[in-house]
Amino acid sequence: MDLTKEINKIKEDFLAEVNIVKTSKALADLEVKYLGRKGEMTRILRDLKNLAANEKQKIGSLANQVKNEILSEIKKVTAVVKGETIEEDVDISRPGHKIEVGHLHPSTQVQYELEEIFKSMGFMVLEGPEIESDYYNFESLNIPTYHPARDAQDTFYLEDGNVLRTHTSNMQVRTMQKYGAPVRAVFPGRVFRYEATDASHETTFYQLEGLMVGEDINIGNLVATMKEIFSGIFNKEVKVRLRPGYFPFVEPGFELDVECLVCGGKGCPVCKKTGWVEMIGCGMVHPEVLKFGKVDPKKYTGFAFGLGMTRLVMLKHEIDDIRLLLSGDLRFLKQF
Amino acid sequence: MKISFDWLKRYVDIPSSLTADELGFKLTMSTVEVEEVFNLSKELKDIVVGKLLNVEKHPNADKLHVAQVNIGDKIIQLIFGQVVKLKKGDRLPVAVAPVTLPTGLTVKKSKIRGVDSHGMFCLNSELGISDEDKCTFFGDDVKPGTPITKAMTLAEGAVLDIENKSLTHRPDLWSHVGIAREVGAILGKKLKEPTLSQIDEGDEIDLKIEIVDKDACPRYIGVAVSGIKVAPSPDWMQKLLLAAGMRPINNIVDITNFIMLEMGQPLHAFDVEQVIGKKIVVKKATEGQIFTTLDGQKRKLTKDDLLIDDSRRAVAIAGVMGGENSEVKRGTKTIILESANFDAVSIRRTSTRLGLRTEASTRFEKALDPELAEKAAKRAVNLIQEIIPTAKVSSKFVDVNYAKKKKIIINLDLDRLNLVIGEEIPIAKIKQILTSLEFKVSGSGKTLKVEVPSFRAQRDVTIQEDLIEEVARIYGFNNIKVTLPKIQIERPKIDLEKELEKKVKNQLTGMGFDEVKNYSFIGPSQQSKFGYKENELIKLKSYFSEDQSLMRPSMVPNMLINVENNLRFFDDFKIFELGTVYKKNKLGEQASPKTSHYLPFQPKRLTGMIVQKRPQDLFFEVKGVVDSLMQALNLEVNYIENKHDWVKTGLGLKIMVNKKSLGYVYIFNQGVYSLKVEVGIFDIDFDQIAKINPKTKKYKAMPEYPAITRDLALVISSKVKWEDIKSEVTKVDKLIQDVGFLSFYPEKKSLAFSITFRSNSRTLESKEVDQIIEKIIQKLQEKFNVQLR
Repeated sequence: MDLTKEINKIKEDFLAEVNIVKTSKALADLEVKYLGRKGEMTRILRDLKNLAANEKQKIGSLANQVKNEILSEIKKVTAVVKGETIEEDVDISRPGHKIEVGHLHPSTQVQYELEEIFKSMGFMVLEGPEIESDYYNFESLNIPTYHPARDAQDTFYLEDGNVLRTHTSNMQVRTMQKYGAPVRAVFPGRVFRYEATDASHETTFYQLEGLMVGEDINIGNLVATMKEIFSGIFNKEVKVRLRPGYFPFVEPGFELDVECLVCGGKGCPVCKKTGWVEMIGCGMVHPEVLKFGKVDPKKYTGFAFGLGMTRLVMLKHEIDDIRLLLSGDLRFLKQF
Repeated sequence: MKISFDWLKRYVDIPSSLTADELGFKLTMSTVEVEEVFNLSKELKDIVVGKLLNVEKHPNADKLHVAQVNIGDKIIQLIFGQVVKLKKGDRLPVAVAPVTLPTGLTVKKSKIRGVDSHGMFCLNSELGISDEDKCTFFGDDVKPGTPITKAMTLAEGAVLDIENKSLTHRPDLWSHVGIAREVGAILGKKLKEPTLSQIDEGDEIDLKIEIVDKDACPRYIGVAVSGIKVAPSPDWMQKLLLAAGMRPINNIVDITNFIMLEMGQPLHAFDVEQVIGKKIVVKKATEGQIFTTLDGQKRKLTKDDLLIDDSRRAVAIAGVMGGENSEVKRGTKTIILESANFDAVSIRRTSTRLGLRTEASTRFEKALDPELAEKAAKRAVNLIQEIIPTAKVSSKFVDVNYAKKKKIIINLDLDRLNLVIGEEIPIAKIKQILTSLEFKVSGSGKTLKVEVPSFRAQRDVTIQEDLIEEVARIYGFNNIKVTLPKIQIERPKIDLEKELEKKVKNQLTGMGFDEVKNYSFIGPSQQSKFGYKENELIKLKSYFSEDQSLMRPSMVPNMLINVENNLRFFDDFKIFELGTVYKKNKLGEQASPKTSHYLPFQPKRLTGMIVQKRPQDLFFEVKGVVDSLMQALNLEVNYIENKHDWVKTGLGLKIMVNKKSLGYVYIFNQGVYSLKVEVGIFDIDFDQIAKINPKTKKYKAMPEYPAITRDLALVISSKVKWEDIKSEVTKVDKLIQDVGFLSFYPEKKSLAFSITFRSNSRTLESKEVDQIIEKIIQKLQEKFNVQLR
């Protein structure tokens, strides 16, 4: 018999037989009959080597095609046959067996996201002491004693004369002293303000300070970098704007607003109808601060920025009471 | 600070097409943050005077009343409460529904407990006129239905509310003239300062001024003005003062306030009768001196506080507040007007210590220009004579001036300016901007000579960068070209401790732990419960509540509170915290390069707690977490017994790595702090983990020959420890590869474990394993007196 015909005959026989198979045992027997070691298709495939080169190719490809068809048919029927063996109906709309996993604090999650963005842009991630000296928290940041700027930062003083850092800016001079210039780093961490607590005020919250010092760093660079970072945070192109802001350790100093992501700049309660949300204080590092950091202000310029991480967490998850974050309440924490 | 739009227009031409909102936006983008623009009189235009015709008790509510009110064209009924006592015939502000008040409150027609109410009587606080819950009553001459904006003097026009924090560095902006100068620079208009006319000095009063402390008071100008008639100030002035948030008092006080808000210079007026000897002496207080300020408060002073004395006693705390004893009163005929300059630090120190923040101290502490004192004194005399025609200068214009004229000239390097801004600004533009802000600019080429006007030269503008800011902000920050920085590629230094932190947190959440974060504070009650000595803990100097007055030396106390609170909602849970603790008696980082002081040691700790409704082997649950965690970190640990007050007897271990303590695992001792449940705790020194450099894992070939595993069950005495049995069994034969714990039933003292045998060179026979088992049993019987089950 012509091999082509023979192969087609095997296929037809198989299809006829497989249609009447009812049990998995019968199906397994069928598989052996056609594809087993002594099976009909196996025999054909084995004999291919005896054919002439041009025949071998033609018949080989047909044989393989049929073999695959048989395989996939068996697979299909396997599912059908197995279904018959299940003894009762199972309601598979019931929930799966969950593996109990814990939850990272929402502040931690946002902090990690930010750290990843900054690391990918070549910033070091550093931490610093929470109990800090007046020198690093104020003096080296161009805020002498009795400077009215100290008003803006209600400070917890300790009996030993140190302070609880009021901002992560305390790391600016520490970092320059340690790493010199050029340098790129961010400092996430816990900061403290001597403030009565309510839904929007806390004694304890999280900030992320950033510092970039190098040759020829300018205001345009600052804006571009911030735009890049916020586009990273919100995972889409954002618009930013600068307006004057006063921080003694930068000159010029700015407030940087990001176009409101809730309303797209049209004005809504989140942005108090201005279309913009105040995100960070920033500016060009003050020459005095560079000097405290032992960096030559004639050779280097730089920018610094301070981002309210806790604020970002609240914005992101629409949390309306800041006190929840340090409540340790698992009804809250298990939501993230 | 509140800036009146109308007032501003006195000093700069603002095009009528420019609204207050638009101006506010321009100021926000170039100068200071304008928080809000509002217009009180516009928002109150629908509030009218109502006459109370009849009052009855509300039939369904004890504390409510039903009133019939004449509002001019009709009579309405409204319901009111009892904040202020009202009687028939009273005339007072009524909001007739529907209307929205400036405070955002909307008044609607409604039924209150079944009775119709068509309006509301309004308190001053509800109208936004003041913060007081008082009511303004009108006289019988005011017809019902008159809008209250006509019936009383109210602020008129738009007001720009400026965020004070954005003015911290700009003493010149604490005034309408100062803001007008900025508006001029932004709009390209010229500033029109108030003109000053010549003062005709008198000699009836021989006013003497002596400055003892010249550092604290560089300049003091005094002048006596007689023929004063104290009366209300003119309507136009009251309206402007109200708009700027200042309550009108009388013409003299109002004039001094007006000039402060106009020019930024605080002034003070004394009644000459109360200035004994007609002499002013400026000197420091004596330590402990008591002085009564005009608010009636007795203030205890120190030798650092600056006072204004007459020839015998103090009459004012310089630059902060006047004294009760020398206040201008209704009958005052002659005043001594003070226009002085005080040292910013001295004023700030006094006002901070006394907790007394006034409009005057707020301005002085920003470092005012001594030249302003002279202008303001002249302006005050001019205004007094304009408003009180009988007024006459009756002394010399006494000006004691030790202030050195500050002449600051900055060389502005244009290359530097362009470098910082990031693009080239045309020289003509730079010159125009600086000139409009009253800087004197000379020179050409690459460097300009810029002279700082004295009102900016006190502290504000001192270096080139300050000028760069001036140019950039008026040029427009948002007109600057935005480009990403050019940088050299470098390998970022990775903080291994931070990486480890991430790993640990991920492991623990994977094991079902939720992360908590607590305050860094504890209180004295926790201190004593947990057995800390007072000198062990770092104390806060200032705090809001006692519970938060000490820095936490451990995270356990606050986390146990978490446990307690969560027990109300959860039966089984696991929590952890990774945070800083604070150690008083150990040195941390250097406090500053200038000194050899060190900050306290502030290590990180990793603490976890497990709570179970029906504790089953709780101790081993926690220990298991530590074991798994250490395995994940590739650290080999062992444990030694540990006793401590916090540890439930017999259920505490110390975690050891390389013979160093890494932390603890224990069941909490309820005797220390009573909880409804048992708590399993691990408490690990995280810094210590970060310091250990774990070995890199090396691949081991899979065994070639099969293993044989046998289980053994023994009855043992409760004193025998698993660790000892394990080590004894392991020693018996080299073919023993592993000894694994299976179970222990305390009731039956039954221990089960498995032993794995394997050779690397051949397949073991059952027989040889049986022989080793024999040996093991024999050994254990000898050593621990065990019995085979």
